[in-house]
Order: sequence, then structure tokens, then C-alpha cells
Amino acid sequence: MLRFLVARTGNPVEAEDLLQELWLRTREAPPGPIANGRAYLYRAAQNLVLDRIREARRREARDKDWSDSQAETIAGDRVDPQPRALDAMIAREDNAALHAAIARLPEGAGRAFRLHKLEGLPHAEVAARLGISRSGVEKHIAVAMAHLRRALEN
Amino acid sequence: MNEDIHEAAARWHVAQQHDDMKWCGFTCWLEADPRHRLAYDEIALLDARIDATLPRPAARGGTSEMPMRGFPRWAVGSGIAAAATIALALGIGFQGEQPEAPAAREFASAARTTRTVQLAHGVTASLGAGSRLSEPEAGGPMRLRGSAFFNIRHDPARSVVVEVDGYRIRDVGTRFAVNSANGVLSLSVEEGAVALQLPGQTSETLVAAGQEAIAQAGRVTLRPARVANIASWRSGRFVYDQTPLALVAADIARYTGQPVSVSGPAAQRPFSGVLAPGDRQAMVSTLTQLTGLHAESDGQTVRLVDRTGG
Repeated sequence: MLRFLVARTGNPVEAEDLLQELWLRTREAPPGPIANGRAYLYRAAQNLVLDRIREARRREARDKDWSDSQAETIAGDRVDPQPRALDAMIAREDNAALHAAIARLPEGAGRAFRLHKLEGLPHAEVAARLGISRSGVEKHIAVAMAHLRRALEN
Repeated sequence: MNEDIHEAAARWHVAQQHDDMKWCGFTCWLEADPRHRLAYDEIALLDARIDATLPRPAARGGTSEMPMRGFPRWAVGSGIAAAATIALALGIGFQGEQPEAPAAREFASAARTTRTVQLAHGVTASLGAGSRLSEPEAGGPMRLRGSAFFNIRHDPARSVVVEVDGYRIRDVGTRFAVNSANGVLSLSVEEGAVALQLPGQTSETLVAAGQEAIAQAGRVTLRPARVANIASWRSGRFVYDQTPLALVAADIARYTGQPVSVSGPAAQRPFSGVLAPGDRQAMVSTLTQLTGLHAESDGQTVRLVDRTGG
């Protein structure tokens, strides 16, 4: 597990820290039946890592906003006059861009992605619906996500 | 970044909701290249954003073991503590499945992100956007590409060496920032002192606290550095004081992940001013307004050129 966390975070110190947290949280959780402890544990670790990344991104965005708003007060330096209104506009357009990008997905990938994400069908059911294998469904959804990433990057 | 990497990252991400996910394979894939982790981060963040944005479909049968977004919900909801605790206690994992350890640890920061890493021997490094640092496991010089700020705990028993584009920086307990691109190196010392050795030379130049060394074409010049501005990207702005434009262009290129170059005499021209992080067009446009240079694009690379012939 430690090796996975090191690979996932790229940072041995943070990995140790996360392992501690994972350990504490599993001890706090009430006991109960479970189908596959190993898979659950890894997924739990994945979510912990993702939470940390999101928190770090939010903090960076806040710091940037603060320093942007402070920039004009620095005496003696020439300052970037980038308009703040742009940020608000980008936020409003984000959701619209995501929906537009989903609508533009290639056919097979788009159908599998929509059945899974919009209609909430599990992979096996999407596979039955489309008459392809579960791994085919996963491939379609992965292609869709790579497409969305590229579409939203610009 | 390579599209195949993102697709591979997405495949791992999609597969993880099944109990037959190959977690060892995923780990090996992450270890194979630092870019894999960065691509996976992007995919996972994108997926979280999709789930947050799209209307949530009603829960259906057969999805009861779908992974949880937030750990607490999972921990309380499905109560797997006993099994998970046993799994941890047994040390579930696969140490020994792939015994050969990598010779060096690689750290990379993506465009638009800075990254702070803890290294051996009390060294903390903050990587500027689009930079890479490798640390040999057996000790020896660290290798940097791009820009970074180092904080090194004083230890009389050893000195830390950082190599960047042929330059060699030796230090004994200090804080300093380094930025290198196109043969130009800037080295600013906040505390302590470091010794700088130029490519192909054996003598060292001592750079003391409050000084900045600019090295290019086999020569070093020392000048006072404003401590508040050292590695200013750590607080979300790029502050320049008489910085060669070659380094400014490299900062923009690394931050945006898109090529920006400046060539000829303009590359050595000093620039003073502040750039806010943004996309390439915005940053280049600010720079051209402040310098009077012109930006030419061939669709890929943006080149900053001096049309006045100066």
C-alpha cells in the first residue's frame, strides 16, 4: 500500500502521511460486512489522494486571486493589467463547455459515456445495452474522458 | 502531453470501480514515468468535476459497491473497517513483486502548477511550473530542469549539489532559487551562501545571501537581489528585476506548457516588471506591451522579436 501511495503522490513523505490517515480512518469506521477489502482500501486511498489534490488546487487558486488583487498596489513596479472580469466569465462558461464537449464526443464513446454517467448504468449494463464487452465499455469511456480533457483544456 | 497517456490514465481510472482492478499494474504504470501520475491527476480531477456538474442519476441496483467520492461517506456507509484494518495489518501490497528500485526519484510539476517536495537530508524543493528534479537514490548531485527554490537544512557534515544545464551549484545549508533556460542561469540566494560552477569550468563563484548571480556565455555577474522577489512564483506572480528576457520567456513557456522563445540580442535584454499567471496569449501580450517587442507565432511557437533592430 505504501508503494502504491508513493507512486500515486510522487512523494514518499506525503505517502507516509496518507497511510497514517488511512489507518486512522479505517479504525474509526464502524465494523460491517465487506466484499473485497483490498479493492475498497485502494479506492479509499485513491479518494484521500484526490481530496488532497483538490484542496491544494483550491488553495493555489485562492492565493493567485489574492496576489492578483494585490498586484496593483506594488509601488514602483509595472503591473499586469489583466482584467478580473475574465475569471467570472470563465467560471460561468465552464458548465456550458462541459455539456457542449459531451455532445461532441465520438459516437461509440459518447453513447457509452452518456449511458454510464448521465443515466447511471453500471458498466455491465451499458455493455449489455450496446452489445459489447465490459472491457469495450471501459475503453469507450476512457476514450471519452481523454476527449473531454482535450476539449476542455483549450 | 501525449494523448495516449491520458487515455491510459482514464482506462485505469474507469477500471478501478471493479473489484478485479489490477492495483499492482496501476502502481507500476504510475512508477514508469512521472508524467503518468500527472495525467492521472488530470483525469481524476476531470471526472470529479463531471460528477459534480452533471445531474446525479438515481442510484440503481448493482451499483452498491461503486466507489465513494468522499472517504467519510464510504467509511460510515459500508462499514468495512474490520476487513480494511486486517488488510492494513497484513501489509497488503506487493513489496517484492518488482524488486528493482529506480535509480533516481523523479519529481515533475505540470504546467500552471508549482509543487513542493521533501527530499533526503532535510532538503525541501519547490518546483516552478513545468520543471523537473531528479534525486539519485545513491546520493550525489540532484538534477534540475527549469526553476526551483531550495531550502536546505544546515548540516556541516555534507553539502548538497544541484546540477542544472551544465551549471553546478554547491551549498551548505541555505535557501536559494535557481532558474535556467537557453544557457542563461539566474541564482538568487536568500540565506547562507552557495558556490556556482559554470559549464566546463573548475573555479567556483561564491554567491552570498541577498545576491543574485546571472550566468551566461561563460561569464557571471553578481548584483543585489530583492529578497521579497526571490522565486516570486511561489506566491502566484512572476516578479522580474533586470532579468534577461530568455528566462522570462522560459518561465512563460513552462508555466503555460506551450513554447515561447526569444532569440538574438533581445534574449539578453534585461526586463523589469510583474507578470500575472495566465494563458500564453495574455502573458505574452503583457510582456510585449512592457518591452515593445513583437510576438510572432507559427501556430506552435511564439517568438518574441525586436523589430526596431536594437
